[in-house]
Amino acid sequence: MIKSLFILNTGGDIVLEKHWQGRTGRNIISQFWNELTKGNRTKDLPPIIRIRRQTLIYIRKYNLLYLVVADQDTSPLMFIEFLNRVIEVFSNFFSTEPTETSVKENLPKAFELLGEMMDNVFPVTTESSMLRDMIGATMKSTPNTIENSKKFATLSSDQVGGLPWRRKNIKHSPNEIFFDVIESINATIERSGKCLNSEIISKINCECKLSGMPTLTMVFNNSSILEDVSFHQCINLDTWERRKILDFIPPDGQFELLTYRSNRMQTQIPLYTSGRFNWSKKKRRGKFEVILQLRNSLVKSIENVSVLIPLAQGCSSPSIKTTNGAVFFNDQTFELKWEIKKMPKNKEVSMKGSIKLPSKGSIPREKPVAIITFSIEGLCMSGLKVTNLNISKLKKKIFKGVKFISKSGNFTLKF
Amino acid sequence: MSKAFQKDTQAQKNLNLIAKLESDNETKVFEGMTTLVGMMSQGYEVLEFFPSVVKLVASPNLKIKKLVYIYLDQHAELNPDLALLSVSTFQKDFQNREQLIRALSLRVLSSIRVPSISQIILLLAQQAVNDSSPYVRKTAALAIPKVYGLNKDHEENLIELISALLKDKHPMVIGGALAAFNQVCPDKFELLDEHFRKICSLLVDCDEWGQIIAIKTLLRYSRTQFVDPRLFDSSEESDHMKSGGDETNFFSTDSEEEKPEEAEEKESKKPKYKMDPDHKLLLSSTIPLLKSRNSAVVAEVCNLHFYLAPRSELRVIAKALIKLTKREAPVQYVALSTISTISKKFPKLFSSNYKEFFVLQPEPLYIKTLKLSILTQLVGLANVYALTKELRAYVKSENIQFVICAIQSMGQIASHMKEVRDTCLTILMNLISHKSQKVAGESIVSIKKLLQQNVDEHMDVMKHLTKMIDIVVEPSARSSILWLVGEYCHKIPLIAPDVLRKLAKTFRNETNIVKLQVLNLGSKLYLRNKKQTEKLFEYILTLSKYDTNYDVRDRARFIRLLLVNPKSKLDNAKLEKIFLSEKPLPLWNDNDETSEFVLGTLSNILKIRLSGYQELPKFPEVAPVNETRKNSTYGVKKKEASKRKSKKHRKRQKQLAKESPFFEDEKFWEESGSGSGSYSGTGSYSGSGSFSGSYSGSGSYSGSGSYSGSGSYSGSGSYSGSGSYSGSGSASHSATRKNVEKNPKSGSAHNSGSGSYSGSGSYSGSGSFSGSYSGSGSYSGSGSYSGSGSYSGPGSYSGSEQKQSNQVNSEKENSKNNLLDLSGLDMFGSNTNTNNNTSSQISSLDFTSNSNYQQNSVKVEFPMKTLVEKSREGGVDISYRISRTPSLHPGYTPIRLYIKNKNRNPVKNLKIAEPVPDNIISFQPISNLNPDQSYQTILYINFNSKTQPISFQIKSESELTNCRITPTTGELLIKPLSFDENEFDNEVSKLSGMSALKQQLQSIESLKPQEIKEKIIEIANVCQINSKEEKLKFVGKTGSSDMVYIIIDSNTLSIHSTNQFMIHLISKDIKNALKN
Repeated sequence: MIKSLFILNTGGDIVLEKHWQGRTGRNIISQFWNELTKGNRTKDLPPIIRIRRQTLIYIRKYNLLYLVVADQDTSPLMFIEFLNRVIEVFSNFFSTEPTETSVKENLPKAFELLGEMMDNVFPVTTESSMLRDMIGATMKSTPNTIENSKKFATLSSDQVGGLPWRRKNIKHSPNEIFFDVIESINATIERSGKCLNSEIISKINCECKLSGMPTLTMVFNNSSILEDVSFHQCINLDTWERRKILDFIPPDGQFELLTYRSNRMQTQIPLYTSGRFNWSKKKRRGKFEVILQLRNSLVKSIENVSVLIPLAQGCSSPSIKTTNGAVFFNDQTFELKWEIKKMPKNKEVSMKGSIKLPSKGSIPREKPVAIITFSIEGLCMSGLKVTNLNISKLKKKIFKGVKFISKSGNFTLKF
Repeated sequence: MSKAFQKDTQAQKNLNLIAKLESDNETKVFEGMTTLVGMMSQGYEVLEFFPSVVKLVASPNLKIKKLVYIYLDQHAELNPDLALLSVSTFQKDFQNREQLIRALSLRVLSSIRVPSISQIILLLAQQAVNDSSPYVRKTAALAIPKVYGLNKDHEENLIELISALLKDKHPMVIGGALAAFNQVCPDKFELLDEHFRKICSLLVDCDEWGQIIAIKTLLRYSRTQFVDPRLFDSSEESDHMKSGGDETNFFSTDSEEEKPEEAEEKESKKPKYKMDPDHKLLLSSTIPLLKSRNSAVVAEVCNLHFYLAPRSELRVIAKALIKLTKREAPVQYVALSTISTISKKFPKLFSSNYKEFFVLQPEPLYIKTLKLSILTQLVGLANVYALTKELRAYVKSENIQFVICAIQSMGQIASHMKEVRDTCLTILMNLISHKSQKVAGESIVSIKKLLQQNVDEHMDVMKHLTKMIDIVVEPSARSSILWLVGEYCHKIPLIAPDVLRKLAKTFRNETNIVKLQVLNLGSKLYLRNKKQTEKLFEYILTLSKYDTNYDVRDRARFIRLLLVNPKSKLDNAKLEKIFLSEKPLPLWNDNDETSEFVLGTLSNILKIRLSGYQELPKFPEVAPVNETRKNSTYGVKKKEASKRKSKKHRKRQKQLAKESPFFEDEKFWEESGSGSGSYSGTGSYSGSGSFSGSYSGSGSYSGSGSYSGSGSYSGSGSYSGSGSYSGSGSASHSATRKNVEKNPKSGSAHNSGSGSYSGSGSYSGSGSFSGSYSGSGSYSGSGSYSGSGSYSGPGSYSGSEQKQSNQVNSEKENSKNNLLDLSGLDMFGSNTNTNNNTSSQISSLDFTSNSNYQQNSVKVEFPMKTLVEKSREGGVDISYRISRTPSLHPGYTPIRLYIKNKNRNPVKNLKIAEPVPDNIISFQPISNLNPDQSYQTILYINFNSKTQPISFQIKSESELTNCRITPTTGELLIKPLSFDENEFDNEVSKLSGMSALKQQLQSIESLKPQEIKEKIIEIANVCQINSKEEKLKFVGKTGSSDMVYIIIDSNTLSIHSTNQFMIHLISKDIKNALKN
C-alpha cells in the first residue's frame, strides 16, 4: 500500500509532498535521486525500484517526476494510472500543463485535490468534473467571495449518484464539438525497403463544448478496424458490443475518447523508403544513402517529411548531396536531419553523402538508424471514417466536425 | 533598509502567520490557512501552528474548515491531545445535510490516527453505512480499514459493517466495501457468497478503482470455489507445460503433431468437464473491461483470466496485453513483466506475435531486456531464423548491458534449436574480440555452454578457442576456456599440454578464478597424460603453495595430497571418478522464480517477496457446494429470465382462462393437487427480487382451492407481509400473496374468505421461491391457485387433497411465529368467482385499498390522486395513492400506481426514465399496455421524512412525462404493528416540554369518537391503541424512527414526539381534518 507521493523537478528538488499514512522521510528521495543520476542511466532506471525496503514507483511528464512510495505489496499499474490521473486533473485545474511553476503557484489547490483523489491509499474520485464540484470555486478567492463561500458546498445529490465525468447545467454558446482522429504509423523498414512490421496506433481526441446532457452516437464505416480498442468510461460498452456504434454522454472540454490499435492497413505504407549505410575503416568515414518515394496510390499530399539520423559521437564534416530539400547537421548532438518541404509525386528523392569519424577511437559496430517523420491530413491509413454523428437532447444549433490525420509514429529505417 | 525588515526572519514570518490565523477577519484567516497548507505541501514543519488551527475547526466558513481538515488529517497524530478537541466538531459535521460535508468529516476523522478515537469512528461509520448518499457510504467503507488499523479489537463489528455494505446495490459502494474486505478479512469468503453474482453484474458500472479491487477479490474468491478448468483441458499442451523443462517449451510446435492420438485417448478417459455457471459468468462479465482505458483494469482482467480461464480462451488476454505494451514506458514495463510470466507457461499464446517484442533502439534498457527474455521464450521452428537475425543486430548495439543480455539469449536459443547453433556460434566467436571485455567474457561463457552439449561436432571451434587464450583478458572468459580445455583435453591431446605450459608462465599474474581453473586443468592432464605434464604440474602446485589467496593454497594442497602424494591410497580408477566424472549438461539460468509470484503484484515485478504479498489460493479438487451463491438471484440474466417468464405467464393465464374459469372442472381438479397444510422451510432469501424473511401465519387453509402442482411462486412483483391483516366477510382478498400482474397465479385464482394473514418479512421476487413459509391456520375459499414454473427451494410443501368447501383446521405448527390467532374466526369458502379479466386482477392486487383495517374496522378509502394529467394523444392516465402496506424496502414508502391506457394504440415499454433517482425504486417496466387496459404497480419512494415533492419521469416508447409526488405529513409515518397501552403511557410521560404539544380543538363536540378516529386514520398512517380510558390514542413512527404519540381527550389534542417538526405538522393536519 502506498504511503506518500512526491513531485520532483528536474533538479531533484521536492516541489510537493503528500503523505497518507505517516510521513516518509525525505532522505529516501535523495537516495532515489542518486540512483537515478548515477552513471548515465537516467533513462534506463526502471519505473519500479526498491530502495531501503520501500518500493518506489515513478512516472515523468512535463519535466516533473511523480513518485509514490509503497511499503507493502500492491498493484503497480493501479498507481501508475493514478499518477496519470493526477497529471490529468492538475492540467485540468491549472488550465495549463502541470509544470514546476504552475504546480508551485497552485500548491494549496494541488494539495487539496490529492486529498480528495485518494482516501487511505485507495484512489477515490479522479474525475475532474466531480472534483470541481467538491473543491468548489477556485482557491484564489478575493475577500468578497470568501464571505459568500458558506454556500460553496453545492455538490448536489445527482452529481454523486450521476455521471462522474459530466456536471449538470453546463452552458456553452456556441455549441460545438470537434473530433480529431489521429493515426500514428509505427513501422520498421529494412534497408532493401522491405517492411519488417507495421501497425497503426490511433486515438480519437475530442473537444466538447455542448450544453446540458447531450447524448451522442457515432457510427463508423467499418467497425472491425476498432477491434482492439480502449474506451473512455463515458462510452456505453453494451451498445458497442451489440450494435458496434459509440453511444456516449461526453465529458466537458478536451478528452481522449478512445484509442485503438490495428495491424491492417488499407493501403501500403505511404512512403517507400530504402537506403544503406557503411562505415569505411580505411577512410574513417561513413557512407550513406537514403531514398524516399511517395506511393502512387496515395491521393493526399504528404507534408513535413524529415529524416533524422543520429550518428556516433564525434562525427564531423558531412558532405552531402540531395535531390530535394535541405540537410542540417547538429554538431552538438551529432544528428543529421534532412527536411523536405514538399514531396514530389511520381519521383524519388534521395540523399547521398558521407561523414567523418573522429580520428581516434574504434569504428562503431552498430549502424545508425534513420527516423522518418511525416504527416498526412484528411486521411486515415486504416480507412476509418465516421459515417454518422448524432447529437440528441440538444435543440440548439451545433457545430460539429471530424478531422483525420495520419502521421508517423515510430517509423524507422534500419540500414 | 529598516531594522525591522531585517529581523523579518522565519520566526517573524511564523508569528505573522499565527496572527493571521487568530484574526477575526475570515479573509485573513483564509489567507493564513492557504499559506499554511502551501507550507505543508512543501514539507515544512508546521506543527507549531497546531493550537491556532485546532481552534478554527469550528469555523462556519466551509472553505476555512476544509483547509483545517487538511491540516488535521496530516498532523493530528503528532498532537493527539489537542486533536481530541476537534472530535466533537467532526461529530457535529457528520449530521450536516450536505453529503459532502458528512463524507469529509468522516474521512478526516478516520484519518486521524489516534487510537483512542477508534470507538467514535466506528460509531460514525456504523451510522454512515445507512446514509442515503452512496458517497457517504463509500467513505464509511474506506474508514473501516482505518479503524481496523487503529484497533484490531473492533474486528467483529467491522466485519458486520462490511457485510452490510456488501449488500449495497450502488456500484460506487461495492468498490469501497471490497477494499475494506481485502484489508480487514481477506479470507472470509463466505461473506461474498450471496453477492458474487451481484458484483459480477455491477462490475461494468463500478468506477475504475472499484473494478480493480473487485476483480482482485473475485479472483481470490473463485480460486476457492471452482475447480481448475485446465485440469480438463483435452489438449496436451498444458501437460507439457506442467512437466516443466525448457525442451518442451521450445519444441512445443512440433510435438503437437507427434501425439494427437495420445491426446484423444486422454480425452476419452477424462470425465467431461462442465464449467460452473458462476465461473462462466465471472469470465464473461470481465471481458468487456478489457476495453477500459485504465491499464490497471485491463491487466487485472488478464490476470484473472490467466488464473481462471480454460487455456483455449486465453487468446483474448494475449491481445489485450500486447496492446498495453504500446503504452508509455512504465505501463509497458509492467505489461511486459506480465507477458514474460505468462509466456513462460504458455509460450504458444504469444509466439505468433513475436514481432511485437522486437527491440527498438530508443527504448530504455529495462524494456529491452524484458523483451529479450520474452523473445527467448517464444522461439520455435517458425520464427527461429527471424529471431536469430534480430539478435545478430542486437549484439552490435553500443549498449554493453544490452549486448550481454542479447548474448545470453542467443546462447539459450542456440542450445535449444540445433538449426541455428552454427550461426550463433559464429556470431559469438566474432564477439570474443569485442572491445568490451565483459562482452567477450559473456560470449565465451555462452560458447562454453554450447560446446558442452555437443563437443564432437564443434572441434574446430574448440581449437579456435584455445588460441584465444593469448588474446582474451577477461578472467571469466579465460577460466571458461581453461575449463573447456581441461574437460576435453583427451580430444585435443596435442594442444592441451601446451595451454598448460603457457599458463604456467603467466600463473603469477592471473586472477584467482583463473588460477583455480589452471589447477583444475593441471590435475586433469596429470591423470590423463602424466608423462608430459608431471613436471609442469609440480611447478604450478609449488607456485600455488605460496599464493596470497587461501583458496588457491587450499586447492593446491588438496590436489597434491590426492594426486601426487605417494601415500595416497586411492587408485587411479577412483581418482578418475573424482576428477574426470561426466558432467551434466549446463542449465541456462531461467529466472524461474518469477512464476512463483502472483501476476500484477510488485513482488512479481521486483522478484522479491514483499510484505503484504498475498498468495493465490489453490484450486480445490472438488468444487464446494455453495447454496448461498447458487440461490442468490441477481444479475442481468435474471432480469431477462423474468421477462421471459412473465410472457409465458401471460400466455398461461390466457390458456387457463379458456380452460376453466371456474375451476370446478373435474379434470383440472384432479390434475392439480389442492393443498392444505403448511409450507415450512428454512433459510431465507435476501437480495433484490427475492424473498426475504419468513412468512408465517396461522389460520386454517381450507377449500377447494387447488394449488396446481407445477405452480411456482415466481413473478416480478412484490408482496410484503409485515403487518397484520384480518377481515371478516367475504371481502375478496384474492390479493393475498399476490404479486403484481405477472404473478403466475391464474387470473381467477382467488382465495376469498375470511382469513387472516400475518407475517413479517416480505415476499417479492422474480424468480424462484425458497424461503420459509410456515403457516398454521386455515384458509378457506374456492378458487385455485395455479401457475407454471417451478418451485424450488429447501422448503417443503405438503399438501393433501381436499374436497371443495372442506374446512380444515390444520395444526398450529408455528405458534411462535403466530402473530395473530385466527382460529376462532369463521371461515367459509365463498364461492364467488371472479371473472378472468384485467380489472379483477387489479382489484385483487391491492388488498390494502379495498380491505378492512384491523381491529377497529375503520374503513378508510385513501384518496386517489392524479399523477399524469389528462390523457393526450398517445398518453396514459396515471393516478396514485400512497399505499399503507408495509414497505419492502426500509425507509421507502410504497406508492400504488394505477395506470390506464386511454389511447387507441398500445403503449409499450412503460417505465421510469433512466437514470432512476436514488430515492426511487422503480417498478418493473411494463412491456405492453393495450388500449383501455389498466394496470397496477407499486413504486417505492424514499421521502426522507420530508414533505418535499419528489419528481421523476415516466417514459414509454413514445413519450416522456414529468411526474411529481408530494406526500402528506401523515403518510410519512409508519404504522407500528401493535402497541401496548402501558408502553404508550410510559413513553408519553417521558416526552414533555419541547417534545409535547397540547391544544384545544374547537367544534369537536359535534363529532362522534368513531368519526374522529376515522378522520385521524385517514390523514395519518397511525395505529390506534385500545384504551381503557375514554381517550383516543394513536401512535406512529417516522422514517427516522421517531415515535409520534397522539392523544385526543374530549376536546384536547396532545401530541408527543421527539421530532418537534413532526408535532407541528401533524397538529396542523389534524386540526384541519377535524374542522370540517
